[in-house]
Amino acid sequence: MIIENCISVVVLAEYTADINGLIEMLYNRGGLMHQIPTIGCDHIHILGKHGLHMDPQLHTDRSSIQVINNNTILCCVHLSSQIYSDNTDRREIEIEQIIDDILAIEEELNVKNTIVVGDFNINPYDSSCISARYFHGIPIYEESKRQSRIITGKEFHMFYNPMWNFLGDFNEPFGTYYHNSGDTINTYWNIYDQVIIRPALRKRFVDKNLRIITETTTTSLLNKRKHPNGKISDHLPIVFEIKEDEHDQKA
Amino acid sequence: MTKKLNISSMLDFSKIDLTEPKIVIEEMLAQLPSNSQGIIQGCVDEYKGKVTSYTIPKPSIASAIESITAEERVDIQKNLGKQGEVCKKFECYLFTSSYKKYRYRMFFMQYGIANYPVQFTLEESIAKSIKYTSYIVECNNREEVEALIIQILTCKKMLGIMQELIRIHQATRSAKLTSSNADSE
Repeated sequence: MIIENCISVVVLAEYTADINGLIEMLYNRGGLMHQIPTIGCDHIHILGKHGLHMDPQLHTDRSSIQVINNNTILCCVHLSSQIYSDNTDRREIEIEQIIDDILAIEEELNVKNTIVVGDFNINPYDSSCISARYFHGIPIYEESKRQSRIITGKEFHMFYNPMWNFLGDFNEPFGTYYHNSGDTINTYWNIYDQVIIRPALRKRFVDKNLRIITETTTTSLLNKRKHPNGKISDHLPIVFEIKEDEHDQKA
Repeated sequence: MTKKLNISSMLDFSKIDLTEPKIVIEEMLAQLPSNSQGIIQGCVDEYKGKVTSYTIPKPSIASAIESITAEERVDIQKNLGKQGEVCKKFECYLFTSSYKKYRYRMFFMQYGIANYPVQFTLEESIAKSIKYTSYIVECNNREEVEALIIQILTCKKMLGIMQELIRIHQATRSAKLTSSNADSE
């Protein structure tokens, strides 16, 4: 899948297999990748293609922030699950801290090229994904172009969340994670694996390459019920493309 | 005849060290470089964001199977009306000379003008590594703070991080030496 989709950066959440084994497997199939340090953040592993320059920044249990080529901030997250225990308060604190950390690095580097990707464990429509206090992920780019808004005297910066385009049943798959909870609120399909970007990156974001992967040339990632095959992973991966900055291309 | 007031034996006159927690921790972190051949350092910085919620998870027997946590609702009335109360918040992290910008945040701490009690909000994995059932820990004096910091810095999680940083430092130095040898040839 990584080779087939010409992936430059792989972000894995809760990867339990041997990461060196994966790197070797990729090498044998013509993919030169190396592990990007995520020291301390045991929930996340990152691989980058050979030649890609990534500088590790702040790390916590649930997030790894890297800077790519000195001009793009990549924040990889694996937030607390809401399925097995209600960690809403804690997850909201985690999100607030992640946003504060991102803002600090954006200010330091004087850039707004930020990508947040990973297992959010919340849907795009969950309050902590939309609320200005948390991710402030706006589904409509034209609205997110404002970049921020002021509420009670404080400025809240926006992200654009393209994952809203996967909601509903007009297209398959219907999400990245299937869970029949039996609760009063149960949508069965969830889009827990998300990517959100600062509006500044919208022009470089390639819409048609944002996909939820259900198969490779050799393997289906779905079971007979068209749910994620738990023997491979209980989540379906997402891929997306952001074109390199023109400055980086010339370099 | 006036009766004798004999309450001195009922009072505790032992001196308790109430040095500001930030200073206590900085003094302990200052020992890291000498314990790691200069590779690892620690820092305490002011933090302006939120560190805890108003619902504090309280561990219970059921929490051992990670399905139920009993929660204590913090009574905000306890804090209202206390005008002029100062709350200092800090983050504490490790860093290394090998990666200029890398930091691993170990915990947050906050305390008021009296310095104690000081509340620590630990990274979840650190709390598990030091076998604490809650990631929120309170210390009432210098001794307790020092004991907690020692537990944190010597736990399996933190030693693992420090070891990885040392290995990377060694690998980076080795690569630089190889590169400079190749250049001189």
